Amino acid sequence: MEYYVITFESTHAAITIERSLKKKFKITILPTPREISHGCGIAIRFSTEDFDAIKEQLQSFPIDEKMYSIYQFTKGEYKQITW
Amino acid sequence: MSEIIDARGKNCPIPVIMAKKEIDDNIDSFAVLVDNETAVENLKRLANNSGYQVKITEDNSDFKVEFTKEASTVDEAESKSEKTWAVFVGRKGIGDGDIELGSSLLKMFFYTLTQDENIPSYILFMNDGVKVTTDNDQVIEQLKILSEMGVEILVCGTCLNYYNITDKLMIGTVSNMYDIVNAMKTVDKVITL
Repeated sequence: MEYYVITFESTHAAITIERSLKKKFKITILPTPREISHGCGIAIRFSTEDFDAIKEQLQSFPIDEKMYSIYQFTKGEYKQITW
Repeated sequence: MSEIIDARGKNCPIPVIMAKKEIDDNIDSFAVLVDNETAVENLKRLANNSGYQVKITEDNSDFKVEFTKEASTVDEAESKSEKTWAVFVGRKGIGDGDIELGSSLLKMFFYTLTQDENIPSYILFMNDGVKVTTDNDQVIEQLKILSEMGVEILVCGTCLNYYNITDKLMIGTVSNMYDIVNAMKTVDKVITL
């Protein structure tokens, strides 16, 4: 199974992005996986098929890219990626 | 011929109370007549929780629920080494304070439960908490997974009725105070969110 996880620098950023994404996409809120110690406690998981659309929405969102990190979960591991 | 209790036309908890009295009096075999399916379901649960077997026969729009005491079995709780527990949800999120944060925390809580082997025996929803079972898509999805894993999800029927959302229930069994209190008493600990 392959999917993506976004982690955030602040809980406020996480909740603002959750609010924005959940209107359009099927996302899952989860505690930041233990393997990714980085960031605040809230993370957002989404599926590979939504990658491009979510990328577009996040980039058009007035939020500094330093406020979040993207990880790809593949072959049982999290790997940090950039858009 | 075992005793027959006529509970037709009686509202919500009455048939259960009548059956409970028989059980408390140690009657090994009796039958209850009721006229609606909710009562049948409530009686079935009472039987399951009290060590009785049930046989249900339908006659026109009435139901006859026959209770027969099962041969005594080894106390299940004693044969299990792991502590049993239940989760009580009385609000739409975890704790007081910001509602949106509380809702995110609740989603994370149930997500975490699905990732673990030691799952609760019961998840109980009451008051504003019942709205989680009608509205919160992510939690509903996790509850479906937990339900498949064997967790019993009981939702307060009085509360669904009060908020007028009984028909919007997406997961769980419409339940009553007797079942919910009984669930609390059977487990080793109850955790309130």
